Amino acid sequence: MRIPILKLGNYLLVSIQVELDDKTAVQFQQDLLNMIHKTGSMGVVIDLTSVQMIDSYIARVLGDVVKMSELLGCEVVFTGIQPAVSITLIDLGIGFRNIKTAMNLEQGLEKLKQSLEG
Amino acid sequence: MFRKNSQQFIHTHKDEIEKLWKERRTTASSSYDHAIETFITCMIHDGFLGYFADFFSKEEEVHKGAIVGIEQACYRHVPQCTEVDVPVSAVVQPFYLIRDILLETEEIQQHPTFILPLMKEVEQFFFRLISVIHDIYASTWKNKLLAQRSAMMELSAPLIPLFENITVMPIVGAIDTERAQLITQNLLYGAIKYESKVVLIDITGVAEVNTMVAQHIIKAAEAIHLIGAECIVVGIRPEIAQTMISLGIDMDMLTTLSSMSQGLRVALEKTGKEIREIN
Repeated sequence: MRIPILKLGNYLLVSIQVELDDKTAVQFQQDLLNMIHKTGSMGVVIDLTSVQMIDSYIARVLGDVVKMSELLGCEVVFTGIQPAVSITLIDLGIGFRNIKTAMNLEQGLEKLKQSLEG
Repeated sequence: MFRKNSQQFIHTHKDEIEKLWKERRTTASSSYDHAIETFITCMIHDGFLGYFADFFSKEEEVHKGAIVGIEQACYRHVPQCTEVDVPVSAVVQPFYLIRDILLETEEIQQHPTFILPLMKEVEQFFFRLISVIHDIYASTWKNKLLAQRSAMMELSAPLIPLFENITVMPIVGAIDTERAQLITQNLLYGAIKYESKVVLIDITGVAEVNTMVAQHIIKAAEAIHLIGAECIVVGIRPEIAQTMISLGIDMDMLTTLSSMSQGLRVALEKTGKEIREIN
């Protein structure tokens, strides 16, 4: 199972529509970094609208993806995190404090534009 | 030798018991007379004394029927006492009069050997009856409590959409874990529903902010950040600021402001609006 990564102008678009398991998450990490490197994208929007559950491992992988992408000069915005997921993450003590978030894809792209293009 | 069993004994003395019982009740008066009297009359009308006698039947069917009958009668008539706030003791008391009446009947006086077995069985009956009455009282109170709690819950965490993209949640009163969960949930679902970019949490009405309350507020704010909105905590009074700092509560990643008006101004700024005087 691989998660499709779409290119949209200067940005990459990822919509995660399956429940992430450990293997898929690691595969996704690799794919995304390769894709950023290949396309030279400035920003990534990861949409989690359809994700109902995130465990601590997946959360760590996702957090790492953000840091790694930033090393490649690419900003990441998470969008559409469900209330239940957000509560679980907070209860697990994972605040994602330094990570950009937006309510939906549209606002996420807007946020990227704002921070990259001023 | 006394040949009757409890069932027959009570059956034969039914009318006598009913009459004596009424007399005794009028002498042993309490401030809830009217309600109790209606209750007892209804119970007798529903065949209470018949069930009382049948309870001691050796036949399983009749015995069970009596229990069901008593329970049903109780469920029908006890609630009218709970409604007018008659204490449980006042409801239970009249039934103990029956015991004295039984003891004082002529037949018993003549056959003292029958007293012990009769009392033993009567005691069982009363235990059953009183348990049922207590259960009804307890469940009524529980229902009342639940109704009040849900009413309080409804009032406890309202989310107000103020402008486009700005919502406000005023919090009044103490915050415990349960309420904190409700607040967080309402905040998150409400923020998504109204597509809020900024959520203001007003804690002017929270009298005491201790470590736990602060923890709850911080958690709520982080959760809001995750779903893609921003949280500003307003209404922090000087004494709250003092306690928070002396308790060592770290609110660094939260935007905090002292008043609602300041909060509103910042929120408008963040959504690209401003308040301007005309002329």
